[in-house]
Amino acid sequence: MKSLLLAAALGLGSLAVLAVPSQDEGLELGVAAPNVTATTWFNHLGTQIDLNAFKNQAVVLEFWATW
Amino acid sequence: MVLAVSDEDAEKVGAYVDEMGLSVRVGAGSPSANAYKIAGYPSTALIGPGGKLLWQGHPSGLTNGEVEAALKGAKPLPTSFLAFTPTSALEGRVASQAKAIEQGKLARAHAALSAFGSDAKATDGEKASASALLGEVDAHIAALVAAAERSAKNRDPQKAVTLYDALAKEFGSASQGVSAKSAADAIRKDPVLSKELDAAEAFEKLRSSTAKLATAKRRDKLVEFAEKWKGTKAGERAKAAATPSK
Repeated sequence: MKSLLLAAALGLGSLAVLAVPSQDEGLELGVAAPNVTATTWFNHLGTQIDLNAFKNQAVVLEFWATW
Repeated sequence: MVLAVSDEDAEKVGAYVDEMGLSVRVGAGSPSANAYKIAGYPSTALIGPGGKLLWQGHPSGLTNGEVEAALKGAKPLPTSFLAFTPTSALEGRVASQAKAIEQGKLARAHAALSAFGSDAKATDGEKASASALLGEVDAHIAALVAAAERSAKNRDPQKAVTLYDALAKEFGSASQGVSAKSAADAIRKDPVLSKELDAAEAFEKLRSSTAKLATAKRRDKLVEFAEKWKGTKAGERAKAAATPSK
């Protein structure tokens, strides 16, 4: 649950107050999650992150911004 | 596991990570929000074992129950970055080597898989499977070495030596171990990189020792650190982290 709290803290820490997603947005639940890429990873040792590498885990993926 | 990604550049994101003392994996320069068609920031996606999208929306709507359900059937995150989950099909006795790989025992798996080729008792299926798995191990090692080289070039020798040291320890006197050791030694002997290394280690200590301090106090420590380690990347990071973000 610690990770969940962190995720929530990250989300709430950014100042964005935006509309609750409407039904038109987001992907259909149950689909294969698209891969996630980034040019630089912080707090990560090793290779580039590939969601396939975490197929045995549950992943909380947070889209955020510093503003 | 938590991944937090932003489409902003690494400089901005890195400063924020340092300023807040974040410890989760954070990605910068990420275009992935588009692929998830998010409605706005912040937005969270919950992905279950097997890679299925289980939930998506504003993080305030994500409940413990949903996360707990996703965690059912999840295995613990590998503790070693040497470990990975093989994707090729496993035949007969090759399966036990896949288990070793998932535990990060790459040297043992590499030696055992190499031996399949000349094993008279091995079936053709096992030989083909062993060869495919060996290819995955080699590719993983190559990716780790590439990450280490990139880090050293990027003035992040701490990450580079951590990777090289782990490879050297794992492979010992085998060729992969020997080249990793010499690469780590070269970084430690280089006057510029070794100073960066000291600075990075000191910065890590600073980050953990100040993690619980109030923002203003942490900022003072960061400023002090930036002055002491002027000219190093860690010094620059401390300076950027001490500058309040808008």
